[in-house]
Amino acid sequence: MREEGYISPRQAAVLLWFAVLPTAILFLPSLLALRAHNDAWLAVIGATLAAGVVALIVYLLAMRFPHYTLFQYCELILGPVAGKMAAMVFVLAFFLLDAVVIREFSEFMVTAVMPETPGLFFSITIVAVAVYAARNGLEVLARCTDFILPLMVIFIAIVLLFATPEMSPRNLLPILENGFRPVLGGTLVAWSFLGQVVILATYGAFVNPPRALKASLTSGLLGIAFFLTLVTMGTIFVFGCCESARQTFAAYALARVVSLGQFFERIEALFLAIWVGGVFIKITLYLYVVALGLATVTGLKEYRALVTSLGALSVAVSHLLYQNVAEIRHDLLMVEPGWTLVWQLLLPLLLLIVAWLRGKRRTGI
Amino acid sequence: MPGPYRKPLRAAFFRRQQPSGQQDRKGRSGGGKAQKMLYPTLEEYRLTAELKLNLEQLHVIFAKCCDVVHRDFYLGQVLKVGIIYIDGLADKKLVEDTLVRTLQQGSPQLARELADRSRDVTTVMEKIMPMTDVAVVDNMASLVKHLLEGDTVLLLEGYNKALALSTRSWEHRAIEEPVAESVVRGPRESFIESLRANTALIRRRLKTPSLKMETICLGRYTMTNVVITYLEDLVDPMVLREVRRRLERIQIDGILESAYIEELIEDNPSSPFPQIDHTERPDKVVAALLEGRVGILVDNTPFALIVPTLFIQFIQSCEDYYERYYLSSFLRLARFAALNIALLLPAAYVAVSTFHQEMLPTNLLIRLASQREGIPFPAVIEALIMELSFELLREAGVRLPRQVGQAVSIVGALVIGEAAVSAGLVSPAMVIVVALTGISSFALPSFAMAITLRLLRFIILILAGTLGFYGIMLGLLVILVHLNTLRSFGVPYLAPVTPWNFSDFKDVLVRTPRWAMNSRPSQIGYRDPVRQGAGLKPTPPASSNPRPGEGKS
Repeated sequence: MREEGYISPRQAAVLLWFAVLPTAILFLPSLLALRAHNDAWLAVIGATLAAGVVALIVYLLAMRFPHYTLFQYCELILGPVAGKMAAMVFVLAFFLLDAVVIREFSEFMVTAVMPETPGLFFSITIVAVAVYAARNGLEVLARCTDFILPLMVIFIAIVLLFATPEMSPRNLLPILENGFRPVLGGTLVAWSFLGQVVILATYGAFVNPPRALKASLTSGLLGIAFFLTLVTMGTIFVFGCCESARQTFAAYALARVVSLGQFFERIEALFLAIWVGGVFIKITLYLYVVALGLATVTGLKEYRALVTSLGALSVAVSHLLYQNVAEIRHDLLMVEPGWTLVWQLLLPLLLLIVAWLRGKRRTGI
Repeated sequence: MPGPYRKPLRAAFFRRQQPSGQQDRKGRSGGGKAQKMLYPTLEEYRLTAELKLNLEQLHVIFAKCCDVVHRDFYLGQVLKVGIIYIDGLADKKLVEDTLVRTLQQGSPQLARELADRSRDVTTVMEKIMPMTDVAVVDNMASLVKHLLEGDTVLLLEGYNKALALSTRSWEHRAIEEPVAESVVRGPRESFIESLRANTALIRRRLKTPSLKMETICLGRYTMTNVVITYLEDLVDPMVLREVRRRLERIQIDGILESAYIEELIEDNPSSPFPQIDHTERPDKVVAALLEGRVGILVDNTPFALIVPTLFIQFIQSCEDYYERYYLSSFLRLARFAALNIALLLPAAYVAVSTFHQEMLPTNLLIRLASQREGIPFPAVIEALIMELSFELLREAGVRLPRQVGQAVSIVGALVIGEAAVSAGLVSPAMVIVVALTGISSFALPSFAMAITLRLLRFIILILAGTLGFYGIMLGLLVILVHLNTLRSFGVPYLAPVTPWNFSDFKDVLVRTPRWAMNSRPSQIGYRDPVRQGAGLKPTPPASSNPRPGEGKS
């Protein structure tokens, strides 16, 4: 199953940012402060190194199978039966991830913005828009991202810049107070977000030329690390590690303290608006990848027919997964690191090793 | 007796004139085919060598057409000829003073030779015809077409060919100043309803054989001439082929305005956004042609269509290129702000005052709250009422005669603006918001885009009233995705913003100086990207004053 369009390496990198950052920015600073205390930023760097390994695997696989998606070369590497099973694992994993993101989104909206509106309402509305976008294909999504990216970057810059009066860099000290153990714990948590760069193995097949995937992966990963470190440091600078850990949505709280020239007092509504744009891209991207994967596994010619029903299903699943936002946090802290280690690192590594052993390789389309 | 189905009276009338056959049954089964046969086609008539027969046929074709003028006379006093033209379309003076006189006084010898049929009909053209634009016509259909376009047809006794003489000249408006796109500086000519005058306006500005003008005739009854114009060296052949293909598939009874064509050839017919730009300024069309676009001129329409069209064209005004680039860039940015205000301001006001009051500084918030105190409607209803009444006022002002229009605006300003506020029905802040929105939508150079924004504004307003900023964002995301799906003749609608092209960005939000616009838009004019030579930036001449220290004493 192939997409008709191509995306540029730059668009692939930007999509990669949006495949990780929207939820990571919102949830990660607080979780990291909980685990790694004031060394949270070190945990981000550690996780980036781990995600670098995933990126390397993705790149090596892409070089063996240029123009093939993850779901396609699963079958090429492992054979029809095991390959389909492996591809199905990826489809399910991406689907679950999409559901988690949807739930994270609706929980945030309910907790922080509109407490009296049921969370299901937010899930349904955003997924409805995401379905509309995903049906239009990857190229359209990539171009939408081009519009939201500058908003996102400018907004993060404004928040961090205008929060400087509240910042005290001393909060960062002492570095490595309790040794590397807490940092390692934080790294595992951050890893479950950063490991999502594995998604480039799917839509990376539509990057033209395939060689440029290296640049996409590098700039994508570095950009993610850069923004995450900035935001994590920003929250620790402003709130200190204990306060950061207590705030469920530390980055959102950061936007609340910003005061723009005594006029725009609390710009968290803007944060909300722009963040909705970002998380919309993330949900759409995963929805698209799931539909694409399922179409590949089942041998359909078109993924579009699947998008609507998958969207509805993901809303339903997202609301079966957790009871409340505390469960999400628990899941992100305790469960996700291990599960993501399995499907984001070990499974692709297995694919690469088998491909290498069996000497599988394809050139051209 | 045929079945329960009964044809309309009109159809039955025409059917009687057709040769007998199984028309009833046929007519029922193949609807489309029967429809065509109901009207007598011109192909059934034949041009014969007998003048009388030809004229009789023409009399049948043009029965009850009082504006058709027919006159018989003798060419060189010998050969009988007939001329036919349509009064009002053909230049009567030319026909009477020049054509008839010359032919009547033509040499009898030539006339005799013609009467003997030892000469071809083209001899008339070569020997005595006092006109240049003459076509030989050999069938009735094209004869009628020529006649209806204002040509004078000359029929000769003994020839089954006729001559169509171009005598087209009818009353039309003079070339005036553009009404919808007036400028302070720049050419003051605008297109008129006459296609020929319009093509001449373009040709006058592009004196190159590379400027091509293809004609295609559309409309079964109106027979409207449509001209596809482009610069052969610059145009994207794919776009051109697509334009031709889309125009050729039009089957319609009539075309009264270029908008008919616009709606029939645009890429996404269900989109609220205009995908084809139209202009009444020849200089704008020429600028578009120079970028590699295709212009479509439609007869009887003072507007030309330009394809492919990008979103960004709707905030560009041709005056941008005639004023200094600082001002133009500033105005572009202002228009961009106007675009956002026209779409979002009422929605943002409703969202802030209903959902996100904490965003406002305390003083402003207290002020707004005190204004809204006692207003019987929620903010969103208040905004909807005001926006709706504004639209009504605007519509009334447009449709009314100019003298009465004044009264409307006074009533509107006083009643809606003053009385509604003092009666406590709407808050003064809302009046400001609505007024600002209205002004912003008028600040956009393109009326078509302004209407689209006005419609979308209501949708976003309702979303904002129910969901606050989240609703606005949802609406914007849908619009964003939709805009990204749009293409105009294969070119992404949002180019060059996305797909991003830095070089094209020189003419988007700012207008860079003329000497810096070295390349054509990459999506459209890629066949010849170099617009002008490099290094055109003017530099002051080398100073004649000696530099200090090395001068002559």
